[in-house]
Amino acid sequence: MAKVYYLNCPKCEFRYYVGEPLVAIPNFPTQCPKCHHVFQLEESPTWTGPGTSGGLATDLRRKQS
Amino acid sequence: MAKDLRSFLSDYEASHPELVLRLKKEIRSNQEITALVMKLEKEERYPVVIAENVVTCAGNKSPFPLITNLLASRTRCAQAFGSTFRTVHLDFHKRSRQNPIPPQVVSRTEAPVKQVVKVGNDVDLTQTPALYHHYMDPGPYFTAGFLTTYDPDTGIDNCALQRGWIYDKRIVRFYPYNVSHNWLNIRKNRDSGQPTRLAYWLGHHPATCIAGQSRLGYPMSHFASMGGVLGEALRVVPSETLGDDFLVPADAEVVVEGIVRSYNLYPEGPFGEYGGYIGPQVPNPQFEVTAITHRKDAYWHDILVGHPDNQVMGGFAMEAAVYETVKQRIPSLVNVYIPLSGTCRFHVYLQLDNPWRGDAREAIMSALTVDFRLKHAFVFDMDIDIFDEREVLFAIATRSQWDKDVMIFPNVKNSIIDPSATWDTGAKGGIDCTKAPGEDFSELNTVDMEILQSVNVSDYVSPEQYAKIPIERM
Repeated sequence: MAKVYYLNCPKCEFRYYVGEPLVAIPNFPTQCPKCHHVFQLEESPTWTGPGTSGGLATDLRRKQS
Repeated sequence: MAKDLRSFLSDYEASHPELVLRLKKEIRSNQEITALVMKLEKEERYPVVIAENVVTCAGNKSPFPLITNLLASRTRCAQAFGSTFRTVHLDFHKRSRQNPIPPQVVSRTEAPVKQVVKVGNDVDLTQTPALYHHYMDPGPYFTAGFLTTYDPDTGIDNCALQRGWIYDKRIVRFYPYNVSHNWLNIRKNRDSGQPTRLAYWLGHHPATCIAGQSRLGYPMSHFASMGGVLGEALRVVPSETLGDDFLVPADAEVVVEGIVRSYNLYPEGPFGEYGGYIGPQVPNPQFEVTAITHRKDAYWHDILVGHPDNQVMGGFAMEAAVYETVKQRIPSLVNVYIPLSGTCRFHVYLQLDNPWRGDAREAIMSALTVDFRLKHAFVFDMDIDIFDEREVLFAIATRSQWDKDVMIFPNVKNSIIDPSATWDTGAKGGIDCTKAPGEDFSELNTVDMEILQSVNVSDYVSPEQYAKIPIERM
């Protein structure tokens, strides 16, 4: 569980995190635990994963592919 | 009369009325019950909590009362099968591994869990008081539900506590951890293009729940192990919608039946896990609920995951397995304790009687192979009470030199729940806190034994004055 990646829901802004197994699957969606909005990681306005600060999940996905 | 949750509660409440809290006041399933139990836990109080008026996550009053914290006390768990705080793991081992009792099949009319039967669209899990436990959870979860599957090759049952998010009235997203035996069964079905039949059952005698944590080989029956710990055959009954060969506990409070029809994955979590941290959202399968059966006045059993209610009982099976494994190699092993401070998973204390050179290090290596979740092993002499962590820390402080007494094993399998590990690998280690064998060692500060035994506090301090002296934790 060491690798958790914080993001924010683009709809309600709730901050939560996803794990590496989810991030590793190309185009796998995430679902906001608060408002249940389903979206792609790239739609999060923030991202704490590899890449630049505030970058996008695609950085990680590109790195892992 | 078969043993069940009600028989246990009746006996326990009669003997320990102060340890059963029946809440009449309305309380919300959305984090309020967790908050209440966390406050009791902070004060080291672990009563059974029964909430009779629960407002569900959907905002309605649930028809089910909720019971939680049932398994939070090591003493209570031990009493559930006639054992004690210090011997519960040894008795558990004898009963679950050495004396399994095959289950007994009974008819539907004999099964209390069939008093109410709802199938198909009549099922609505959002009306249950399932808890929304922690702030980042996506909704209400099954936590005390034993997810049951059958090995398609042998027909042998497997039960495990595996979380399930009540996603909709009849949809549950669940986490069949990928080293679990349930996952092996599901994978066999998936690979042969077959659906997976499964069921959650919840609410039973604590001994049954504790036995459900037994560490068995694959495939081995948990129902038989439960019978061993209960001291009588577990009564089971055919399911309503999964076929007569799919048996579920007849004396449970609730059974939820379902089918995994496709093996697609969906976002599941985040969820507050047993390690005390919130696990991230991950991809997991879901199943369609086909039926719910329950008693007329069923209790909905919840386990507060990541709190003593979940941590304590899970430790017994690991303690028993460590004892069995280490004792074979190091006969001087006397006792094993996996403390709550390490979430009853990550730390193990081993007590050896007069160990010889190499015994302690051998015990460390042996213990750490028993379970991937065991991370740190500590070995102590007989004069250290391994159930008292003040003495444990004292021994670490005064009987170990870390240039020679510490062992570290890098890059080995680890729990994904440990936030300090890289996904599923990490480091394990141990500390030999025993006195050097065959060498002189300083004596503990003490007084003559006859003086120690002859001096009683009550001879000098009145009970009233004694009761007023505050306890200070340092």
